Amino acid sequence: MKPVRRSMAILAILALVLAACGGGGTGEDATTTTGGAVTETTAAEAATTTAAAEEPAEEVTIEWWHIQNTDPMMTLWQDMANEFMEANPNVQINITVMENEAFKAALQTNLQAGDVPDLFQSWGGGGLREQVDAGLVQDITDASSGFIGNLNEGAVGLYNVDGVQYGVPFNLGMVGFWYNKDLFAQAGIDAPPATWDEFLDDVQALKEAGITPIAVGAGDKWPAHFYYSYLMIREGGEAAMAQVTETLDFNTPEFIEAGNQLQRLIDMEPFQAGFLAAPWDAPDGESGTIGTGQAAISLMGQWGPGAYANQSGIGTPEDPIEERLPAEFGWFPFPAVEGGAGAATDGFGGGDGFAVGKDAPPEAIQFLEYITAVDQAIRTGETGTTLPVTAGAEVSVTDPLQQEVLEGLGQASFVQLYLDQYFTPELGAAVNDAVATLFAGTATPEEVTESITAAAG
Amino acid sequence: MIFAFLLPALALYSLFVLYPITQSIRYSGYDWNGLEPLTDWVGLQNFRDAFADPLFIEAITHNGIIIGLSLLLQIPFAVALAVLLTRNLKGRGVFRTMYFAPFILSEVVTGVVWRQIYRPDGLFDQVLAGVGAGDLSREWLADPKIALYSLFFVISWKYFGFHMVLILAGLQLIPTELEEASAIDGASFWKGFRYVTLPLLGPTIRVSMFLSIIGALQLFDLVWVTTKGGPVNSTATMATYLVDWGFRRGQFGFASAVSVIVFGLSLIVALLYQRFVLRRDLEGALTT
Repeated sequence: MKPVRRSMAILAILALVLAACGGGGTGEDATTTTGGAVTETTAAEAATTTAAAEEPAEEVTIEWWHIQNTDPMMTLWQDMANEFMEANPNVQINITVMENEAFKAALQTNLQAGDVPDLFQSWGGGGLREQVDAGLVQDITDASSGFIGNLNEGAVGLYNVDGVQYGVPFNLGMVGFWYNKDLFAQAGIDAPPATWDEFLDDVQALKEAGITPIAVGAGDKWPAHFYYSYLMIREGGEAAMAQVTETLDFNTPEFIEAGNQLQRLIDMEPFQAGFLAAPWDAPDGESGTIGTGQAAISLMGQWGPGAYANQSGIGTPEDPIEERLPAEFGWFPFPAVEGGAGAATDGFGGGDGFAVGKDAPPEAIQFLEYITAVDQAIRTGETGTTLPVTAGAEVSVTDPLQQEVLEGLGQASFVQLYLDQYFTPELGAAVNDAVATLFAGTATPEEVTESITAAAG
Repeated sequence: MIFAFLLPALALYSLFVLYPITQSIRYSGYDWNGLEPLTDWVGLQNFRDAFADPLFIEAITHNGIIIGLSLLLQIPFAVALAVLLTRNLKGRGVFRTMYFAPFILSEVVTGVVWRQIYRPDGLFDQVLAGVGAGDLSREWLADPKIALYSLFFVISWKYFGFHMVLILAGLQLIPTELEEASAIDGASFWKGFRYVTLPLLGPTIRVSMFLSIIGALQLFDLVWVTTKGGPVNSTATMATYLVDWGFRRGQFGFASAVSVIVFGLSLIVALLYQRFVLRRDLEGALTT
């Protein structure tokens, strides 16, 4: 048994490596074997091939890559796939579950080999645009027109490039401040701040009470970029964000002022010890510091409380999130900035969805319709980890903390996608790196906008 | 006929070493995001960009610092320990095993463990506070000024045992008669070490140094696990720079150019070292 299994594993690895080496933009045909299902793909094929109607009613296989690698979502996706396969006996859905970072690396390899999964996790934005330009994803504008109107318009728009739909969202969240109500009370703060100045006052009050005001995982960089991005949105508003998308010139008074406002916060030294090396999710990271009650505030998306609870060491994963947090938690939106052009309700966030690979069968889109239909969306919402985007599924969000995020999202007339997803991976990384230098005190706000602009050029 | 037996190995070597290397060289001439067809030929522009990027130069400098410190501190330390442990010391077997143990750990395990040791108010800080040196506490991995040296300490901790074992083996090759003769002639311990042991140990030390240099040039895993090259690039090495540009920014053409540069630098260093330092050893000479 053993030697056989080992040689199988070696074969599988060889096949993967071969796939990675082959293709490689040469436009040759690449044949890969994954998990027993054989898929033939042609790298040179045009993007707009609606693989539809090629072999209807015949056996089809859908390769589905997602990153909901923990329960309850992992099991729920499997259940839904089983239900769909039962209703459509000719469809076989092969699920590949990966952790976020592992997924990104593996997807890159498969995309280079021209072996695109039929459905795969996508955040939209600049990464999706690159895939569109390379002809790796499928135009599903017509195929999805029957159900996409039921989904949140902003979320749907993330998967729309130049008026063409390439994917379908299932989750949309927003970044805001999570705070520890006990620590706020200890510092004598009775209400969440409404303006940036009030926020800075609260930070000062926390400091004076001997409490570390903020935890930030600046080692991972993207948690730090939330501060800068939100200030950009508050200073410049929707208009400035639209303009920078067009010009890629970050050297504008609004964005430099955003840096100046962030500098005011950084100068107060409000962060936990060693924040420059701290990751987001680790015992010594942002989630660990908040989860153990060692700092009061964390600027994070809707997934924040789940991660704090996991790091708190309280209770077991089956217990509700509120019971596993070190104190009562609350949420407030990023405060308004005096003199800024952006509305206080403008949001910053993003979500999850599935892009449709270039050779996906029409059944893949039907499957997306199935999992985003209101009944299924309610089931995702009931897990307490997902904010479904289907109209009518809002009622499923019963977690009080998530309801606050949903409310903030409901008030937002404009939601900016995470900048590191919105731009190309290269420019996104440049934004994150530049903001990290501001946090480290090695660059001025002017140098930050200059280095981002230089990377964009 | 006998060459037929070489074919399987040769085929694998070609597939997994030669082919990827030639592909890297080919990619390095393109502006390529890894997805689109290779069309945007830019010639040597990627190489010019790399050498014009202060962060890449900084990364090379960091590799240089690690090499320098390894040769200046780590190897002499390993030699000293090895000499100590060849003497008739009680429990020297235990010491040898103990000092060699860190080398057995994988780099990733080492990185994860030391991340926790170095964290603010972690084991390292608490030990310092415990011996009354709490003032010396620093943000070991979070302070850009010292993070590289904190990492060097971990690298040394992991590899000194390996070099020590190499040198122990070298010491055992030295005939005891020579050391005894010098002692009978009245040479002190230091003189015996300086004029008998050290010259005869030369070939081993030079190999040890060579491995140390190559290791430092390729330094990646440990850095990636502990700091990912941060904070603000203060611990970036050529390899982390390369991975950052390839897999985080998706600039595979540029990253390929960087990999070619790293390959070239390592090759030059290796050839020069063999030519000028190892030549006599390779020809079979026993001393310098």
